[in-house]
Amino acid sequence: MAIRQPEVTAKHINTDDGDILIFTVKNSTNRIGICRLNSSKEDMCCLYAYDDPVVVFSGNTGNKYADKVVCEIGSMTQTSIINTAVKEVYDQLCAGAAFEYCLPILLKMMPDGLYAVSWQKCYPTTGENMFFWSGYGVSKQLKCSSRYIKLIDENKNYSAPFLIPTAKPVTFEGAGVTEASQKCRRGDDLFGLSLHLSGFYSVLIKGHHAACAAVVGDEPFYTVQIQPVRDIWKEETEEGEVKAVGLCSESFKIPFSALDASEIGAVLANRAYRIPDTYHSIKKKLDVTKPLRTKGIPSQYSVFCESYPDADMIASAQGIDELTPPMLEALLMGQTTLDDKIIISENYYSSVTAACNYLRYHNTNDFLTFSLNIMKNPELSATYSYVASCMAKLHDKRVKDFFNEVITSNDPGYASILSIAKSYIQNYEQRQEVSREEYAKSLPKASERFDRRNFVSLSGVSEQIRNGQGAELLAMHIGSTGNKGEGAELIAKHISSMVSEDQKK
Amino acid sequence: MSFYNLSGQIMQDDDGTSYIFSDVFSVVPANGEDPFVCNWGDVDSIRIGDSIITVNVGDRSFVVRPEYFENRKQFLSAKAIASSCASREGVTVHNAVELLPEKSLYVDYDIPDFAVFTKGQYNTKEIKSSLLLLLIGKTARILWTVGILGGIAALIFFHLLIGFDELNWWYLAIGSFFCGVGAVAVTYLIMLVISRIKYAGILKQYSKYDDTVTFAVCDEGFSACESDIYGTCNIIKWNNRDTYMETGSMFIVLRRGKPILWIPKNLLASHQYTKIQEIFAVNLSEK
Repeated sequence: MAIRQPEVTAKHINTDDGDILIFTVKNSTNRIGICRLNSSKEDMCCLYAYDDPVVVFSGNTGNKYADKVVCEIGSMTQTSIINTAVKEVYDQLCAGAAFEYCLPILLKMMPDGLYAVSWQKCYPTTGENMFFWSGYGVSKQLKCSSRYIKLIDENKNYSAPFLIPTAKPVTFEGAGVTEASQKCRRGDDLFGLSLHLSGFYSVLIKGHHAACAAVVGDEPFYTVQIQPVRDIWKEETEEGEVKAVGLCSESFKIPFSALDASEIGAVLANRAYRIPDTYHSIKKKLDVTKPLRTKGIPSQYSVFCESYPDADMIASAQGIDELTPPMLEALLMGQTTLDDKIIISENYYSSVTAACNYLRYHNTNDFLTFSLNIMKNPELSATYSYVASCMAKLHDKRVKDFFNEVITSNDPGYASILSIAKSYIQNYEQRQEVSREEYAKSLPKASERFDRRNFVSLSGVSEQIRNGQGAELLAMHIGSTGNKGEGAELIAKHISSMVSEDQKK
Repeated sequence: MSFYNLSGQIMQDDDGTSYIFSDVFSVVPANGEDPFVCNWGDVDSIRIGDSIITVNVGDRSFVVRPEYFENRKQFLSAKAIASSCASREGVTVHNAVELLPEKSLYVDYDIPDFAVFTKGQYNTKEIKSSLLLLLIGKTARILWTVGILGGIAALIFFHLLIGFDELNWWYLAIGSFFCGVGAVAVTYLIMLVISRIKYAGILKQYSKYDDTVTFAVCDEGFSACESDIYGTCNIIKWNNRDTYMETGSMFIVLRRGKPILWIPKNLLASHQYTKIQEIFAVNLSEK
């Protein structure tokens, strides 16, 4: 039987949303993908790289309206074939190569189908002001990780700016951050390589240190985002019939007219999940792999990330088309409509929370003015708790003054936010600014980066050990560890006996 | 949904129109017109024949003819995907008579490594004899009833016609007994003829069955699927009311009185035979 070679083709499509670069993958090797984990316990899926589980996600995985619970398990680049491909692609991207030229190396390992590739500005957080890499190995529900997000119309495209790490924190090196800030750039921008997972989230395949460098340097961080296009774009016709008119993903819509039959077939024949050849190996590894948290990411990164918008803010910013001053005034008066048009939502509470997040994203001053006005209106007390918690995320004198007033006034109307106010005031005084510049200066230089020594594997490479060079290396290694124990002695004796036996022969 | 071990299937007719069976059902015309795409939930019914699949959506009917399939494996894959997707959506699937369990019964579940696995082909003679045994087993009560009633009827008939007395009661009793036996024999023959006529289709279907089948049996359930499309992640779970019977050549599992699984004993090694007996004893009741 003839071996079918992976086939990757690229083309640009002009749509109403602009130019889209798409890749069609056929006969792929399926080395990177998502598989279901058939477990009696719960509904789980896994992003795998060859036979390594990388990210496990659960919680109504088939439900397009449910947020995912995600836990990072392994590393994307553990398998040498994937590591080599990723490194090659990334190096070429750093050198300024066109996406069409370098991405096929990686795409041929992904499941058959259609992929849209874009240059995407990202916030290296978990969607909740926590540095994305700091959350590695912790099982967490990611906000707005569902396919359809409550505030964003189902027919509207949205970007996916948050990241999920795929490198173990143990690989973090201060010198790596310094090196990345110099080398991991495309043009002037720090960047990484990501694969879109769901909702606002992508898994970062490469560029973890570049993301660190962006946070430390307060620079924007971009990713070359690979987004599978696998949903059906349906629209209602004039006759009231719902008809498929194209293909879509979270950020892109591609009409059928822009694709040929084979491209359409590649997507439509693709199933949501596949069971890879390495499925049993993945499952076995998953049973024995426990997330290791041997070394954490420095806490400064999460402090630096406080300034990034969270998932609620992004959802409001992308879901709300406009929020004019008259609309805000109407909301302050307790109305949800203006000129017979719904401002945000029919639900007043949802409208206020969305407005707060929208304003937080666009203009902090407007947000503070709006929220302080809400706090002055006792009729809107149902929203106090949420608005106060949003205000507490800002380090601002006006907020401090307001919370002081809340504490001193003993107003029973503020009872629900008293604890937030007290905690804010307490933390406000204790808060110490962490200087990015000072932290950056404290990082080791790139030249001081630790180089891993070549190691001699002790399993199944007797030839290598019998070889004089191998024995020498191992002896050097034992010597360098300073281990004077019985074990080291025994190994040294064993090697010398093996070498002498060889020489006799 | 199950059969995630199978990729979506694209069948093409002579005009170049593609029929795609995957997580959605779609038809892509060759002339560049927009494809017809619908969720399996929007399909009205599916009819699966020996090597033909018809999908009915509204007033449209899409027939995927035998010649559109590249090979038997593609037909089996398309059938498995359509059945499992449709069953999840509650769509009616009309299947041809099948020896293997319907694909719509399978669910996503990893068959453990310690399950009993075996592979092979059915012997059609064994299936026929087991099927007839099954049918006779089903009618045993009727035959007993017919025999007793026949005997009693003969007794009454003889009594009215001849009358019992000290001299003839012995002969009349034996005569009545043989009348009962005769009634059973006649009824059995009639039922056999009816059964053969009624199940001629099944017997014909079974006699030409030549796919290699992979069997897996474990405490959670079983799988009996064509080896071409077999996957270790598809299983039919045991039902509380499942029963089993053992014939000379087969293990037969019955669900609601109908055979759902046939395992030829000659495919089992002795330790597998013992293990299957243990699994059945724990999870099923013997008929």
